[in-house]
Amino acid sequence: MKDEEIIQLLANPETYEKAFKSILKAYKEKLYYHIRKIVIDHDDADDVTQESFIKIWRNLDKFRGDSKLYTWLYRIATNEALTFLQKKKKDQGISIDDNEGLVSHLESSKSDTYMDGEEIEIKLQKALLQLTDKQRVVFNLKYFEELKYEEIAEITETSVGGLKATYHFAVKKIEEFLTKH
Amino acid sequence: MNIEQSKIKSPFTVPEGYFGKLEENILAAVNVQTLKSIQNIKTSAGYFTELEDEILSLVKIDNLRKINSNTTPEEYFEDLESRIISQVNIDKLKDLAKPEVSEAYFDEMEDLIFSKIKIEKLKDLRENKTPEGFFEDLESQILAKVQIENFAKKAKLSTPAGYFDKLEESILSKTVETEKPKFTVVRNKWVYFRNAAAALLIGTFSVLVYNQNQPKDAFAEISSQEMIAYLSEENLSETELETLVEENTSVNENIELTEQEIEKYLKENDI
Repeated sequence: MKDEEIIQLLANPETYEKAFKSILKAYKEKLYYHIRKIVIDHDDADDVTQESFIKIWRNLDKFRGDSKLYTWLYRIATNEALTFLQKKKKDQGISIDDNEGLVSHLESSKSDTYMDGEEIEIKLQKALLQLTDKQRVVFNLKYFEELKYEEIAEITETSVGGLKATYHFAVKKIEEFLTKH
Repeated sequence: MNIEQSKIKSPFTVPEGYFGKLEENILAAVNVQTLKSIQNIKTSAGYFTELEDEILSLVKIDNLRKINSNTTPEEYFEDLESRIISQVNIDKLKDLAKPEVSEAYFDEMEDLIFSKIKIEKLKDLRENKTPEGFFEDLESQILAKVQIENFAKKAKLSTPAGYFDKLEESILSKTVETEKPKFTVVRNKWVYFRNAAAALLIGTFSVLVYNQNQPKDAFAEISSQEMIAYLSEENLSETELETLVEENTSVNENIELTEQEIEKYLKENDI
């Protein structure tokens, strides 16, 4: 089902369930991978994805149609993932910008069945963990999801100009990392 | 290294069939959330007490039903129904068997009984010794009585059916319904009292003004007719009127008026 059709279903509370099932079917994989790139660990991504969809379900009536459906869904998933990471780091007593724990996890799960990438792919992820979480989000949405700055601006609720700077800064930093390592 | 040209993919994978299970898990989690939200619905104050009472009442009713079902033999209620219907039919038959009697039947029956009693008495008298000439007298007495009764019957003038109802209607139509009273009936004695109170008030205030030659106040400017009309129309209670009179008459306590002065004033003002 297309987003436009889902939005029509969201206009009537009686068709919320149908709308939600359509959203789940269409976006479960996209949102999972988006979350997975932020939290890295599969089990964490699984939890956050489920929480994100529950939040989507609870807030179906708040979707006004003034933004695109998928940017609204990505915004919820992004916020859930970032909130999860912040809490996790807080619980572990580490700095909010410290991703050493995630790097360790990435290295230890090279032989993990849930990690099947080539060396460069894992290396890129390690490079990404040199960025702040918000920078990673912007890079992921632009680089992997290939979204437009305007769409990313809707998801992250920041300005397009700031996003461009963030992305270019992220690319430069990653390339430096990959060159060095 | 130019990563934008390289287009490096994401290395993350998921277990086989993961997304199918994810969908199921999410739907299950959403259902749990929905149930939780239903459980969190606020209830009105005392709802659970009322609910408890209702449940206990239902339990009591259920127990009573059980008791009833325990103490009645099997098919009791089917028998009961047929017995009730039979009883109703019997009652109907009894009603049908009852001969209809005229309204005057019992009065006539009373007369018949009295007549029979008289005959019985007469028979007794016949059997017993009677004084000489008793039967002649008796005959004449009976004949006289019969004549009197016949006369009484004739005197009892009969009227056409519904005569008195029509009469009543006729009288009412000629009287109450056509002739309206020329004068309205005085509502109650307090109207007189009001008028009297008005007169008294007007009198006292006017005399005060008249004798003291003081400037007229607003009350004094009200005409007698207006005052009477006001007191007649206003639904003042007895106490209110008394208070009104007392308060205003008390003003005049220190004024000494001669009878001539009062009479003069009343005449002048046609009170």
